[in-house]
Amino acid sequence: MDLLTVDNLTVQYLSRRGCVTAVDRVSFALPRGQCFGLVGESGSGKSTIGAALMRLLPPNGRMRADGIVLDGEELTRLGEEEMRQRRWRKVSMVFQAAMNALNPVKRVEDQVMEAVRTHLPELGTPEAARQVRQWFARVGIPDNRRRDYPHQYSGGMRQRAVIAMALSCHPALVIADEPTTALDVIVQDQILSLLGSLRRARDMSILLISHDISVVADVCDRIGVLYAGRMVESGTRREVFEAPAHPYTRTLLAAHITLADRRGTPKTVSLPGPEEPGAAAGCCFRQRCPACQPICRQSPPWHWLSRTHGVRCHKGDRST
Amino acid sequence: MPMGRYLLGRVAESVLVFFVILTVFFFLFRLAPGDPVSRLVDPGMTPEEAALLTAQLGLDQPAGKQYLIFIANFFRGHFGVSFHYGRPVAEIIARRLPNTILLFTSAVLISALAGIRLGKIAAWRKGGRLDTWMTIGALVCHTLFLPWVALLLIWLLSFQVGWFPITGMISPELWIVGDVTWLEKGLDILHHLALPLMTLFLIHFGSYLLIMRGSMLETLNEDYIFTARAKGLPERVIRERHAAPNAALPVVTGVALSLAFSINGGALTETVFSWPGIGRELVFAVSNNDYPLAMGCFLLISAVVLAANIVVDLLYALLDPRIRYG
Repeated sequence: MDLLTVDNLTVQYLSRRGCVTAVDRVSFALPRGQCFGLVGESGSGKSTIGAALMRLLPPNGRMRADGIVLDGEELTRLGEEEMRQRRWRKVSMVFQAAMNALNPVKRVEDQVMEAVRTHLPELGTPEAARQVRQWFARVGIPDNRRRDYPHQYSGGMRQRAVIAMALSCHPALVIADEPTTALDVIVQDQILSLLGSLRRARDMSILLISHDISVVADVCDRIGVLYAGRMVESGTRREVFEAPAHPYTRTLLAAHITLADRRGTPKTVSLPGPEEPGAAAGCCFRQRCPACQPICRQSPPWHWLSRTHGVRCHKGDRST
Repeated sequence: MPMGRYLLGRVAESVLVFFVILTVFFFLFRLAPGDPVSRLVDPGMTPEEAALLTAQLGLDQPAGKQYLIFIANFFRGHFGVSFHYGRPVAEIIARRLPNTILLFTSAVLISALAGIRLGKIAAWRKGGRLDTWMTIGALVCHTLFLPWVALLLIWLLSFQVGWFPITGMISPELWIVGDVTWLEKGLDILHHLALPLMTLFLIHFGSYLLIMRGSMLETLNEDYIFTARAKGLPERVIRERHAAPNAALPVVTGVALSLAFSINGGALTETVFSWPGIGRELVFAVSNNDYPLAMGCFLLISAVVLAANIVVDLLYALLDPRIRYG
C-alpha cells in the first residue's frame, strides 16, 4: 500500500503576462517507509510539487489533480481547516537552512515546542517539553544551545533544528526541499545520514527534492526525474542509474562527476535553457535532446519498462 | 561588560552633542534680529534707566562673556530668568510641560496603537476592500493640513453642535469656585482635551498605519511565515505571534522617537486650541527675543531627544535578539 499517490497533478501560476504551467500532469507513488527523490534543474517544478502537496501555493498558484491520496485520505477534498490540522501532523517539511525558515526573534526550542503544542495538545506541557528535548538530542544539538536564537546557530545546526522541528509531530511523510543545498559536503553528508537513520527508526517516508543527483543517489529508493514541469522518467534507484531510459536522465548522469571517474571532464550540455514549461507542443526536451527526431513534435506517451520503471519518450520502449 | 561600555560611550557622545547644540543656539539667538531690551523698555524711561535695565539683564557684556556666564550658571543648576516673565525659566517650563505631555504623549500613544492595529489588519487583507479603504483613509488623513482640521473640528463640534469647549485647557469659572472635586476638574480637562486630541489623532494615525502595513507586508513574505503556515498553525497565531511582532519592530522605535519629540508640543495645535503648553511658550519666547526662556525650551527638547535616541537603541536590542552591542 502506497503512503502517497499523486495522480495527474497540474500547477499553474497566473501572472500578468498569462498563465504558466509549472507542473504538468505529474503522477507518482511513494511506498510507505521509502524515500522518493525528485530531481530536476532549477525551474523544473520540483519545489512547486512540494508546496502543492502541502496545499501552500502562493496566491497566484492554481492546482488541479485527479487525486492526491496521503495515508488513505484525499487531500484535495479537505476543507482549509482540516488541511491545516494535517500539516506537520501528517506531512511536514524540511526547508533549506540558508533560508530564513526559522523565526529570527523566537528561541529555537520555542519554535519546535509551538508545533508540538499545536498538533499534540493531549501531551500536556511537561511531556511536550520532554519530547522536544529528546528531539534536540536526536539531531545532535547540545542541551545548552536549545534556548538560543537561530542566528546563534551555524548553518548545519540550523538544518538540524529544522529537521527536529519537522519530525517533532511524528508525521508519516516528510517533504525535504533541498535540505542540504547550502551546506558544505561534510555537513551535507551528516545531515543526509541523520535524515536516513531517523527515517528508518520511525518508519517514515521522505520526498526528497534536490537538483543534485548525487544527493538523491545516496538516500533514495525511488527517483523521479522532472524536466520543464513534466515527469520524464521514474523508477527505482537501480533502474534509473543503471539503465537510464530518457535522454535527459542520461545527460544528467553524464554531467555528474565522481571520484572514481577518471575520464577527466564531465560531459555537459551547453544548449539554451529549457523553454517555458508547457509552452511548446511535443516532447518538452526536444530542443536540447541529442536524439531528437521528427516524431518528437508529438507529445510522447508514458512507457512502462518494468513494473516500477517508466519513461516519457518516443524511443522509450527501445532505447534501453 | 560590553553593554555597559557601549552605554557609557553613547552617553558621553550625547553630552558632547548637547553642548554643541547649546553653543550654537546661544550665539544664534544673539545673531537674530531684534533687541530684547526694546520690548521691555518703556518709552518714558530715561536712557540711564534703559542702560541700567540692559546691565541688569547682562546684555551689556560681550557675547563671549555672556556665554561663559551662561555655562557657569548652567552647571550650578541656574537656567536663567525669563526676560518677559521675570521668573526662573525652569519654573515656567515646569508649569507648561505637564500640559504638553498630557496632550501630545496621549496623542502619539493613541494614534500609534490604532495605526499599528489597523495597519496589521490592512496588510493581512491586502488587496481587499477593507485594505483599500483603510489605505485611502490613512493617506488622506496623513496629508491633511493640521490647522484646517483643527478649525474644521472646532467649527463643527464646538461651534455648531456645542459638544466641546472651543479653546483652552480648563473652564476658569469652574476652577475658581471652591467646592469642586478633583474628579470634576479631571473631567473638565478631558473635555477640553478631546478636540485637540482628535485633531492630532486624525493627522498622525495614518502614517503609523501606512508604516505598519508596509512592514507587515514585507514580513508576510518572509520564509519563516511560510514555515509557520506549513507547521499548520492557525492563521490568527501566524498573524499575531509570527508576523506582527517582527513587523512592529521598526514601528515601535519610531513611536519612541515621536514620544520624545512630542514634548516640543505642536506650536500650531497649541496655538489654535490655546493650549497652555511648551510649543506656544516657545513661539512666544522666540518672537519676543526672550533668550533665556527660548534657550530653556530648546535645551530641554534637545536633551530629551538625545536621551530618547539612546533609549531607542537599547529598546531595539531588547526586542530583537539579533542586535547586540559591543
